[in-house]
Amino acid sequence: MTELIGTHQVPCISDTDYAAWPLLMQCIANQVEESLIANRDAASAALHRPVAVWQRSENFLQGVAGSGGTSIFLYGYNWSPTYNLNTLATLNRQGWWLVGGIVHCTSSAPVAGNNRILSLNVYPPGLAPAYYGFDVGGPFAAVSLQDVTWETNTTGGEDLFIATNVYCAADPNAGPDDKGMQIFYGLSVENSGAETVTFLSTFWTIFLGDTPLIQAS
Amino acid sequence: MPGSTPVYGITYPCGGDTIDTGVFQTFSETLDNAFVTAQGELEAATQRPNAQIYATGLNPVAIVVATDTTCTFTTEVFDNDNMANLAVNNDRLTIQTGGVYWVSSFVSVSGFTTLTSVSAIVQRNGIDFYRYKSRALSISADGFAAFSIPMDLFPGDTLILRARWTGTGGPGSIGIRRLTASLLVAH
Repeated sequence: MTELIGTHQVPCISDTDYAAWPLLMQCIANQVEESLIANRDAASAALHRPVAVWQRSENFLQGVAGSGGTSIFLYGYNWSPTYNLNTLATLNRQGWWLVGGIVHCTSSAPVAGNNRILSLNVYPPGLAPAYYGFDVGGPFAAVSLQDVTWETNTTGGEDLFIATNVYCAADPNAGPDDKGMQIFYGLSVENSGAETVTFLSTFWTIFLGDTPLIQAS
Repeated sequence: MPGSTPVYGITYPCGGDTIDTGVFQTFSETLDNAFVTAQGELEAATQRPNAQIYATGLNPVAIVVATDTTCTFTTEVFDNDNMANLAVNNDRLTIQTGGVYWVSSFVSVSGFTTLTSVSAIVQRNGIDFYRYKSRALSISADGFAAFSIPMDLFPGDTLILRARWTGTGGPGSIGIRRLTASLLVAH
């Protein structure tokens, strides 16, 4: 009498089932293959996690800084995806993401007291990106990296705006949320001028449909 | 006539086939091959391409003030995707597997009189991709700069680490330097 045994219910024939041996071996082969394919798909999903890389190559004119500054929206505005595994105009998987960006800024000359603020922000579905008034003395004053400045790029490299999102892990504790715009991470660059390149990156819990942006002011 | 599974080719007898020891041997061997293939697929996901090259001040690189200078390396700390080949090119990693990488660097300089800044620059295919400038933390000891960034890279892309310092004195020398590329997500 053939029995199904074990966790995977593998068929096991008795010593009187000689005629069933081919069928038995075929069943085992197919069950093993099915299990291996499932493992392969799981491994492939781990290796090819959702990721998006967006780039904008043309110049982008930034408003003149003043009290309150002005905001521009780099990521998500007229950008081209250079690589996009999951059509990530919005982040379509809830979980723990690594979000980063590089911005190459150009201005006329360093000006004492002229501050740039770059930030990574996330907007939930239904909340349109809008002006957000960062300025010195504003919300980033306490976290600005005053000891960091940015190398003047004298090599004439191409303009570079790159944003990268990499899904890292599911967050089982994350649930639907009606939060407003969230600030990922911000930098205040004092006495900014000439050409500057800066980078922002952080890990953050993302909810379905969230849109990350790089903003500058 | 034996049959086999479509993906991993596990061979089994069909009705009418004589069941002998050779059939069992083939069955076992093809099962083993399938497991070996599956193990390779799992390792590809868990042991992603990583490489790090390194050198110390025992092998310094001369660097004059305000000049981007390429770092050379002496040691492959680890490399599981043939990205480093220091015997041929001792200044770079060459990407073998396309994807988004986490690229990290560290560089230190010494030998100056006063140090105003230290910069670490990563080049992709000979073009500056990212430059990070660190203000000097001291005027009498080593200065250093470090960063970690994601980069979208393709097979054949090269990564080169350069350094720059400003201040007085010198020429200085590049001491400890390290360049790491770790695959986050494969294309």
